[in-house]
Amino acid sequence: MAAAIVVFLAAAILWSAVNLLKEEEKKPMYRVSVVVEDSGSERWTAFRLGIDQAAREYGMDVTFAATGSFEETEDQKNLIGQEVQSGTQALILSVFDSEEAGSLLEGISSGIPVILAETDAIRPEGPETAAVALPGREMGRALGDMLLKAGVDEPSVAVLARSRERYLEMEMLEGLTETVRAAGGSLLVLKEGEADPDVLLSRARTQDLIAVLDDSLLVTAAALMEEKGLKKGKLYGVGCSPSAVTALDKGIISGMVIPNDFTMGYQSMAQLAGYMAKDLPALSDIQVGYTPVKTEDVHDPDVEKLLFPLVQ
Amino acid sequence: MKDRIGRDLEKIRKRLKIGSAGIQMSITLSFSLIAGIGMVLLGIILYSQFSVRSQAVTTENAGQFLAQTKRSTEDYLRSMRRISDALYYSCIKNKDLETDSLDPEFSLLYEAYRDDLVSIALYTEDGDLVSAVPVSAGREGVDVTDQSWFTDALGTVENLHFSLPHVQNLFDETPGRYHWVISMSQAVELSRRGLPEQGVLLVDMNFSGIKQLLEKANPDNTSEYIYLCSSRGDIIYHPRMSLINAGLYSEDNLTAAGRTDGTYMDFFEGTNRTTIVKTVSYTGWKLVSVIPHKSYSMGMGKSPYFVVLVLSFALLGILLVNQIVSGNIVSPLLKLDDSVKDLENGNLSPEIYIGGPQEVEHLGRTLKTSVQKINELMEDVLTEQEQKRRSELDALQSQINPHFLYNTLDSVVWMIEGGHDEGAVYMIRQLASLLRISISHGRTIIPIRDEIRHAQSYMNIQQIRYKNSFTVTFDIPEEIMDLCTVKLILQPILENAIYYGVQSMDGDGEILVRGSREGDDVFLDVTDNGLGMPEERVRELLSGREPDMEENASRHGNGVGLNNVHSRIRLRFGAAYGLVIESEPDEGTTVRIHLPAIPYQNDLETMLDGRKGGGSEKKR
Amino acid sequence: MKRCRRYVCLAALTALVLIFLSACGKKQGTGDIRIGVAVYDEYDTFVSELTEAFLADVAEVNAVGTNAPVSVVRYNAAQSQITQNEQVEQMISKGCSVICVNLVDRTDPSMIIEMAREADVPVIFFNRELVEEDLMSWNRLYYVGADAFESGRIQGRTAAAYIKEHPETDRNGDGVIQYVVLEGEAGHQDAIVRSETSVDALIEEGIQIEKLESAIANWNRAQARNRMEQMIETYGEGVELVLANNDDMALGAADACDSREIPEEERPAIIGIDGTKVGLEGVRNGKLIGTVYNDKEGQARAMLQLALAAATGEGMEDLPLTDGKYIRLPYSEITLDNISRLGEEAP
Repeated sequence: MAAAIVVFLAAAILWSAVNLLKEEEKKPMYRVSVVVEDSGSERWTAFRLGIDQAAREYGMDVTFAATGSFEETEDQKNLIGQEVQSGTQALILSVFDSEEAGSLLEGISSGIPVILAETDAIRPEGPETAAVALPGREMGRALGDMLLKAGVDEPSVAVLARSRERYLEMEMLEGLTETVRAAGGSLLVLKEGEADPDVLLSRARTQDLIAVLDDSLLVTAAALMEEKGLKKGKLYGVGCSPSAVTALDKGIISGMVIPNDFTMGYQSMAQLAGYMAKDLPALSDIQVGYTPVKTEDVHDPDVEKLLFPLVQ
Repeated sequence: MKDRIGRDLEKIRKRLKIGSAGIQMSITLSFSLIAGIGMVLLGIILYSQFSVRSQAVTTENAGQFLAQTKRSTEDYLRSMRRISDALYYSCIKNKDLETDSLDPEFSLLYEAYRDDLVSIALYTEDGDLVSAVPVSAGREGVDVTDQSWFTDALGTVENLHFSLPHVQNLFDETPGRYHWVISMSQAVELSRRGLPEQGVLLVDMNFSGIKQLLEKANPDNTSEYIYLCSSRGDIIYHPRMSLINAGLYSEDNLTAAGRTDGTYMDFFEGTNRTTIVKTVSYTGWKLVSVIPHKSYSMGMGKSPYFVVLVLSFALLGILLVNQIVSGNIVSPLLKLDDSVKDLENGNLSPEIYIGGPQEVEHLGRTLKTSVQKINELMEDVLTEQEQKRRSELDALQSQINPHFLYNTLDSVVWMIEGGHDEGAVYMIRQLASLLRISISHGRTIIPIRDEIRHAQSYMNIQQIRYKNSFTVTFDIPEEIMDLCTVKLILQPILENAIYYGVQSMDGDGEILVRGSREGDDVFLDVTDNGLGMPEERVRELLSGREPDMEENASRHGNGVGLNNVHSRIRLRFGAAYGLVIESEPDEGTTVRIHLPAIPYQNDLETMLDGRKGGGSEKKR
Repeated sequence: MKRCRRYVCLAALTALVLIFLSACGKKQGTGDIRIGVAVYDEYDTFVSELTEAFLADVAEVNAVGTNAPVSVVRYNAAQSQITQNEQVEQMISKGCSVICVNLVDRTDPSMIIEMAREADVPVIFFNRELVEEDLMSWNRLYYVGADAFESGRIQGRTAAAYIKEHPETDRNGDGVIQYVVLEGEAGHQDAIVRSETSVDALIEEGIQIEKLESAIANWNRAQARNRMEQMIETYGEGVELVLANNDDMALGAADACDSREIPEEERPAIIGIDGTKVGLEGVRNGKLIGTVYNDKEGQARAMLQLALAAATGEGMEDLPLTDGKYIRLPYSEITLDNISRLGEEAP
């Protein structure tokens, strides 16, 4: 009997001493790499802020791989490979070419959870991949609604888009087309690669309204329009970078559909944090919201908070 | 009550199949149990006290910290107010807009406070810009009269107004650049051409000023935090502002804003928390400190483990000490117990342990003495038994003296041959009576009456044999006839009297048997006037020397002797009784038999036998 | 028996302690090289162009393929040294192997140097130079930039050359060039040096000058415009030459003239320093008479090389370090004449 008690007490001593000493041990910091095209572009400003906020809160170590513009999927794949080799434990990606997303993902070894940002059309399998996506079609529709309220009946709309396939853009285009056509308008789609921005813009100006589906394109278009002193009231688009916001503020862009990139970044990280800490059994797809904003709304207190993120 | 507990403990013990606990285990367990329970209780009480205290201390600290933050905020706002006041009273009031430029002073103050300010601007009540630093190009299409700082200032002219944080929308900035500011505005009196006008002085404070101040109040590693909101509940600064703005987090700011200063207990979004509210002066902003209750236990951190460690160590120590101490008490007892076991197992002279505490030593000593005593008593009993057996044996022998029998029968034959039939019949009757009493149903104790009759029978026979060479007289009072005596005590004495006393006296020999009672004593005296014996002989007779059978047999057939009678009497009745011999050579001898006066009863013998522990019933 | 057990417990405990300590001592090795970049103000044109060049270089390094990919964390201090100190702290805690700091307050690098030294993280200061004593306080501090004296001198000489070629600059014909200076920041070394040496160079070149005013515009175009407008208010046409410490301010001065709709002939000669994209644009379209090219590409490249060398420990010897700490790239003058040449080189 005595022996049993002594053993029990000895075990208790060991257990509590071990736990006391354990306080030196720090919580493990998970490493996450974010691989997106043109990491330095201000298009990612809000996204970065969301990611950084989550990194601070969940104690994670985030690296934004420094990238320029990708020529092809291989570029992104190589970079991902480098990051994986250097010991990253999770990835957040904005897929360069949505068509080739499959091949991009297959290169990534298992055990590394991946969050695909922006679009969920890729629909990956398995608990280790999920999409934190923007509702492309809805955004397209919202943009269409804004266009229709521009005061032109049955407007003809020039749509400027990037040349390569991005599911998000395609969805937005669908939504936009739907809405505009339903109101009796027409669309002219111009792809970036077809000509110089200058030329594209002149072509676009032949239409009543211009809608630009990509942030950097939108900023370029706005800059061009400002330079040329073109009439305001025609330019609309989807964007979130500070330059785009300034252009919106100045009225060069009359209306913009702004994706909640901050939320996108934050939720991507939050999911990864939960999954890697074993609190979540699997990653799940999340839909992020958007906000349509017109120039006159820019300084609305609630809109301001969204458009002008507090830089930490 | 105690019995019940005892019984219950027994039951428990049986259920648990624990063997009946030894002393050591009992002491150890009970003491350890009490100490253990005591410590655990103490630990729990102390721990809960500690945690209550630490909760109170944490809350107090948070309150003090909040007070400090409040002071810092107020200091900051005050210094900002001074700037505005300085601009107004030392600059604007003294200038005429028509002729004077405000730029030098504005630039000076701006440069001096560049870290805290974004811009200084002066507007007329129509919203026209009078002067601004550092940038003065107003933004196209912006009408300041709509902006809240403007309307607030003109709304309450005597006060300085602080706005909520917002993005400055006044000037033409570098593209992409924006400033979060808190606008400090007041209505001012302007002079133009000597005529007074109303205007608004706007000092835009860099939001980072307040932000940094409050960031310092929100260290990263705790779950407590402080936030600032307006009197209406709009958040000015919150450590998780960006999340709140994005709709990913919610805070109880509206409730907090409605409260007066104090400490409150809240339940918000599933967690318990303590909220402390303090109001910042002049602006009416609320500084709110939130302490989620789980942060109390975080502060406790490793304490539970520490407590367990200490408790376990202590319990282990107690157990150890118990073992040692109880060992000291218990091991002597155990050793003593071993000695007793030894005794039980049949070792009649075991090693008795003497040692340990006083009481145990005393027990040991007593045990030792007892064992000795027992041994002695046992020896005594053995000796007694031996003697008794021997005496019985002797008595048995004496019951049937072959020589006497033989001789008597011989005499009878002679008589019959001689034709003396009556004499033969008489002899045989006397012999029968003698033999009957000799046997006496195997009893050792008979009434004196019977003993006298036995003696008379014997003497009758002897007289005939010895042809009346002596006379014998019996003088026994009736009152002692029914008292007890050991049987066959007179006959050997009479025999001696005959053989050594009067045998050779040729008819002059006289033997007198007289009985008397004195109180509780009975005396039977056998007196003869014969040869007597010397002192030494007397001593010898009663010396207790083993009667040599053969020697006595050669002395005329009496194998028993006076010593035997003496021993038998003493064995039966005790050392106080027995024979006393007085003798004068040539004069005579008196053998006095001293007996206790005990009335004879039939079952007396059994009683006496029983008392003495086995009598002649047991024949070896 | 109990003793025995006790000793076993102690032994087990000691073993556990040792294991834990050794585990703690081990640091997680990261596979990539992390460079932290902290700029004093992301809206400073030159600094942002420099940073972009730096990032482009990093992307190139990654694209070529390396087993230790380089990543960059960027911070903007928004002109607050306190913020920058916090940002440096964050960079160090995020595991940056080297940090590049563009100081907000050049007189106050002590906190940053202390933190870096404690964490043994090398620091490359760039573009805003700290005093030599501070730079010498630790052997893993470096500076990449350019020689402010040189820039001022070149500016002065370029202006002098222009004035000699274009005598109409002296509008009031008094043989003296009335000038104003648009200065960077109060107390900023580059600003002070540029202003002084520029003027000295002019004098050396034999130009007679008269200072009308000098104003602080914090390197900022909009502020410079404001100040210029005030000066135009005060001096009207009297301003013949505007010496701006940087292109942004020079352009601000030009903006002021534009907004006042001052005709060509009445505008002062404006010259800046930096050779930013917009600055070069200004030279091309005649708003500025010239500028001094601050080799941001070269500096970016030098920074990256130095950063990689400092982080990996290899290749230090190959770098052109002055006093083991400084890399200063030379300036070159830019005027309308030679700008086409530059146009090919500039990215």
